[in-house]
Amino acid sequence: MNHPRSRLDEVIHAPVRFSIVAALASATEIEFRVLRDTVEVTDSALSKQITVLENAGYVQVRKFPVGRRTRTSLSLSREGRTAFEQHVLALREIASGASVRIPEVG
Amino acid sequence: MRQDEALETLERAETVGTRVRALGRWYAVYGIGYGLMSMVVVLTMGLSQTLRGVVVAMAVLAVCLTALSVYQARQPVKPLGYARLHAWGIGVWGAVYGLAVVAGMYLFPEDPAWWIPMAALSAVPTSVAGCMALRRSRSAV
Repeated sequence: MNHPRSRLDEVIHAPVRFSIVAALASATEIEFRVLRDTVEVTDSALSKQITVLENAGYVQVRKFPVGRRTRTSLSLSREGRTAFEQHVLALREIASGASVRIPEVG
Repeated sequence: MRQDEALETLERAETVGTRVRALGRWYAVYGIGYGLMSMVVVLTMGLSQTLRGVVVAMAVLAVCLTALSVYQARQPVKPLGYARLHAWGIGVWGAVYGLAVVAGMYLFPEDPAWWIPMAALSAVPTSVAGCMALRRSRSAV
């Protein structure tokens, strides 16, 4: 039997990355500073995880000038959204216990 | 991964998602504000039918559009489905506004029976888009 655990996405599975992707899945685009406050991590920790997600093709980074500053916005790519949806489906299956086999008596 | 861990992870996703979706509610203010601006502009333009009325209406339009654009640009979260919703709201508004002004100027000058309903109708598209964004911000993905 194919346990849903095997369908969990290795990139998304890490707790901080999962929170980042969950946040991005709930919007079209989020600014870096808001994502940092939502996920409750430091700038450097978020940057590091974003790089991993970007390299996996799950997150798109957009930089744009606002006055003299540059702001960074993040969004989930189509692949990232699909991977998150499949990951959540697998989690739901695990949470519901649908994959647990009840041994037959006799 | 155990069942309780999966549940905990799903709850975390829901908590984060709820927090982010709430930050997209600004679009309701934008949409309804845009609708009110349109209503004032169409009424001012249609019922005055003077050059002064048109100038006042255009000034209101310019000031409000600038304010709404600045408000929009400053928002750190773009709600889910934002591009499609915004394009739909502005596209339908453009059609209704164009019809109200062009047909009104030539066929119904200073006729309140045309301008008042059309002013109200021109407020509908962006307000509906705003309300849809608000509804989405309250529902789970």
